[in-house]
Amino acid sequence: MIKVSNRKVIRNIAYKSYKANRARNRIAIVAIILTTILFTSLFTIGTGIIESIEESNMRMAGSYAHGSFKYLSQEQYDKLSKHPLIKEVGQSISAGEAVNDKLLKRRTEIDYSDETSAKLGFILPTTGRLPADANEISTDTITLDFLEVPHEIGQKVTLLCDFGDRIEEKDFILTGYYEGDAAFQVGIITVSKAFIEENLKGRGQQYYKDYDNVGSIQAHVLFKNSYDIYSSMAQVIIESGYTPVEGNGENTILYGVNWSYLSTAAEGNLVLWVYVMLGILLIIFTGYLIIYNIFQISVIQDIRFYGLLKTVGTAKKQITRIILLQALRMSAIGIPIGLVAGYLMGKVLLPLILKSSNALVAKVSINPVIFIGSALFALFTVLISCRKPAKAASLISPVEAVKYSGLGNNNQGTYYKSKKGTSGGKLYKMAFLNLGRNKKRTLITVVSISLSLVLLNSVFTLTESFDMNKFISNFIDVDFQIAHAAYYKYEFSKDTPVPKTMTTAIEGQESFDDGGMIYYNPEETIVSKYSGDTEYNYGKIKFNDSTALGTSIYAMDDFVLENLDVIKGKYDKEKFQSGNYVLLGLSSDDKGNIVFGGAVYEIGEKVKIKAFEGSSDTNFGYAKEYEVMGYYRLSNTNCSRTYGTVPFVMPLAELKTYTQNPTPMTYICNAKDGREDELEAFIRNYTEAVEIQMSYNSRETYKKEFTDLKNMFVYVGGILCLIIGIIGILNFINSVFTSIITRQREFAMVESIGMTKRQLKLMLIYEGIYCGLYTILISAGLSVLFGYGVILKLANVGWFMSFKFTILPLTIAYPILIILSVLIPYFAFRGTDKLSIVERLRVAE
Amino acid sequence: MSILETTNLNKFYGVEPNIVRALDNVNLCVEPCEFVSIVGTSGSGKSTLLHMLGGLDRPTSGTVKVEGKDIFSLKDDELTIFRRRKIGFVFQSYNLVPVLNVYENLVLPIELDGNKVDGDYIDKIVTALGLESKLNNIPGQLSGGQQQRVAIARALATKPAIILADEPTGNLDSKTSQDVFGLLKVMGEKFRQTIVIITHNEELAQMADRIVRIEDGRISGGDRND
Repeated sequence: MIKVSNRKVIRNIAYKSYKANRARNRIAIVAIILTTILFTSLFTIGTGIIESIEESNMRMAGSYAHGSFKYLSQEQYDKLSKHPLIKEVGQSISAGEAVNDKLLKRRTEIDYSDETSAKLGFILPTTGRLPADANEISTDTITLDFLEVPHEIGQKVTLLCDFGDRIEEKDFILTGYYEGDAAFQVGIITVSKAFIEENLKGRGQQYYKDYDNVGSIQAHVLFKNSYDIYSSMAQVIIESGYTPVEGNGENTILYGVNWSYLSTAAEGNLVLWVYVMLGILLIIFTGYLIIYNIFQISVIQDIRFYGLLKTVGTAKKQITRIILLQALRMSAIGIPIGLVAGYLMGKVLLPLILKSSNALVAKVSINPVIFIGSALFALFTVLISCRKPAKAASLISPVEAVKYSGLGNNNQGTYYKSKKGTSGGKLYKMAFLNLGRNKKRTLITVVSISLSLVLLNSVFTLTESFDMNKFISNFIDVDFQIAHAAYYKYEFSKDTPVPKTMTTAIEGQESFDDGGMIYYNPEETIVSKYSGDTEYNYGKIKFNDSTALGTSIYAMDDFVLENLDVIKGKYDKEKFQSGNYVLLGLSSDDKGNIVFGGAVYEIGEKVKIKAFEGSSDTNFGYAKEYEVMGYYRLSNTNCSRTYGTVPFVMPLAELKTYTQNPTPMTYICNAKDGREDELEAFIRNYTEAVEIQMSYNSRETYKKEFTDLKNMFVYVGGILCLIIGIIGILNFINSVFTSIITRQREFAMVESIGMTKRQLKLMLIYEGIYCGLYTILISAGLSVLFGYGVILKLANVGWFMSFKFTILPLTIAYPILIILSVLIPYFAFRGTDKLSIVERLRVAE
Repeated sequence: MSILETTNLNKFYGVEPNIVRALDNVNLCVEPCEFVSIVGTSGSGKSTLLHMLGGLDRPTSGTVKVEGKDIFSLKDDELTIFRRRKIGFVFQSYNLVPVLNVYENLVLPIELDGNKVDGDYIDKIVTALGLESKLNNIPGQLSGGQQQRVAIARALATKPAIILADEPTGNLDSKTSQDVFGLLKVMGEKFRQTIVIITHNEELAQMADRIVRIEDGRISGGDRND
């Protein structure tokens, strides 16, 4: 093949042709920007969700290091940390515990951490800096609160330091602090390397012999990727000359892998990626609809130009290239703008999406993958969109091209069937017939606008179907529930009780009506005797012999007992207080129906209960026997929120026969009618300022959670509708312009036989209105279908939904749609009618 | 009285020194029921003249009077309305509305004017042009000659003061051209219409009552005033 240097001329033609099509370019660039925005925000949100889940998992795990090598000597640390597999490494050294009286309720470790280790462990001060001198420390705000030290750099802090072998009182100066998380029950006070050298010289250098971990080094490492961390950890140990086994011995090294990198998170991500893929397809589709349309139209307009190029000898490939080059030029402008706008939009939307799961903190990072991926997908959409028009332009025969007008022309054979009728001369009738001339274009316009309207209506039907009462009553059946922050994180233990000080304070309030405590002791295992078959909670379990079932036994104050929803049997206060009766808790399904199959004991049945002694022990000979008095409904406010055991309620005095001091687990109370806000303000203030480890739920907090959830759907759905709507309207503008431009000659002709511009305009407006009416018909029909077909089913599945069909969004959107279908043709026509009839008539002659 | 009269009609394109005088001081009179053909070479200005006569384009200077009315004193939309009432056009490329059937095309100018269609009159035209069997057809289904006959019928439908035909046979073979030209002449006589026709075909032009020759934007022969 002979290589000809013709690129330059092709580029030149492409450039000139680009310059000549300003209006088209503008619409196409807007379309490309919108498409890119959609991709970028989708990717930003997708990666943002994954990152946020990972981040909160890591916070739970306490570190985002891939793993750590434990209890190292300095020599071992030096060897391991030099391994080439390791990308980043930080060290921390345990220096013991702070044992001030004020810290009785909070275990507080004293550690040295270098910058990397502090960063990996989320203990880098957000205010101030890490300590450098031996008398400097940094810590979290909760520890400071316990120590009653103001959040201020330079404050003096006196600590009782337990070094394992001795306890010393030392004075420090606070150099930095960060926000503490109430859910973490361990505080960390960071000291300097100088402090370690001063106080722990030589300690912890042979943990694997003497098990003294104070002074030993932990190496926290990050590898290049999180793929198979176990092997990487082991490889580092082996290649540094040690043995990676758990246990002890001269040369072994213990290591741990951060579970947050291993867990089921990957499966959750898979589901997310499926959604992202679906989103990508939808965006490609909508982007294609409009960009394709624009190029198709522009090729039709310029078809004579391409025909001319062909007559002078331009090859098919070269014509394709001319069109592609123009598309690339538009992409070069549109995609970067779209990337920036999309990123910003994703950043705004992500917190809204994550708000509904309060465990997650929105984290958006500038990940190059987002931008490269979005740009590639946007470019892909542009290229497939202009592939067909480019092909059409390259295939047109020069002779035809000169005649082609993009419409069924006079001589184009029998494309149109003959039709009866005598009323076609009426404007509205003509307009109607004109719509049918390019059915595909009309369809694309109608469908793309309808799509956005159906989506809009569906989003609102969905959110309208969110039932706040159902939502709230599922979580809370009293005004307030108070518990330690750990309780709400499912980490309740005997170390996280509700303090008497707090309940006294609440009960002292004017607005307080009544309340009561629920006691439980999670550390003490109590079992009940059971034999027989049963369908237990989530499956059938057969117990042929006498078996000891694990129980959760609660004791409740009167207020709580009287508030219990006794669903079968009855609660007889006097009999119950005798201590020979128990109530059995039953859980309910998502719809609030009690799972009676979960009851392992009949009402009236005698149950033997005793403290657990050993797994093989089935001797219930001396165990006390209780009679089941009734069943009550387990709810969020009357249990430990962990399941799998048999829940009983017995009087407090009776529970004390098993466990000395049952822990006050959670306190529930009501405010006097109409004074809920007052009590809430007090409790909020109390949990924020006085006992900050405490937390509470109220109808108000769930109401807020509910509105957050609802708003997320409204915002995200609304923005999606808006974008698809804009694309639809752009399509509409586009198709109106095209139809006007391609019919210029025809308009000139009807003007020449006496149609005034007013009549022409009216005809175009009629066409717009017909388009609008079609859209209304289709979108209304589909909205009803979708509402009753899909959302109704969704509402039946979703436990907090009550289906409520709404067409309010449509009734608001329709007048706007009709106004647009009048205005767009009106202004489009005004913009194109500058040439005289004769000039326009000449166009095709 | 002339039904159509131009006075010192000028149409220039561009500016000095590259000015193009498409029409240079044209004075032309057409009497009622006259069948006039305007002949000239390509670029002689004959189409421009016809466009001026029909009010499709405005002149640089001079006047065009139809039935004594100076048409360029009218505003655009008034001019359009005047045109659909007083002037029938027949174009080289037929210019039928592709979505309307033959009948609807015929009555379009009448309906645009909001008038009732004179059924008997339309029937007469249709019969005279032999279009009875084609009324429900779409233009795309007709041959060139048939389409041009529809265009002629449409031009006649409004009972205009004058019919202007711009190369009506330009797209047709010579046999069909003869037929169409003949039809125009017959229709003119039958319905007492004034017809001005542009052609570059000398042979066809000979069928007219009068031939006006135009060259470089000036009338070079055939004007009554000669």
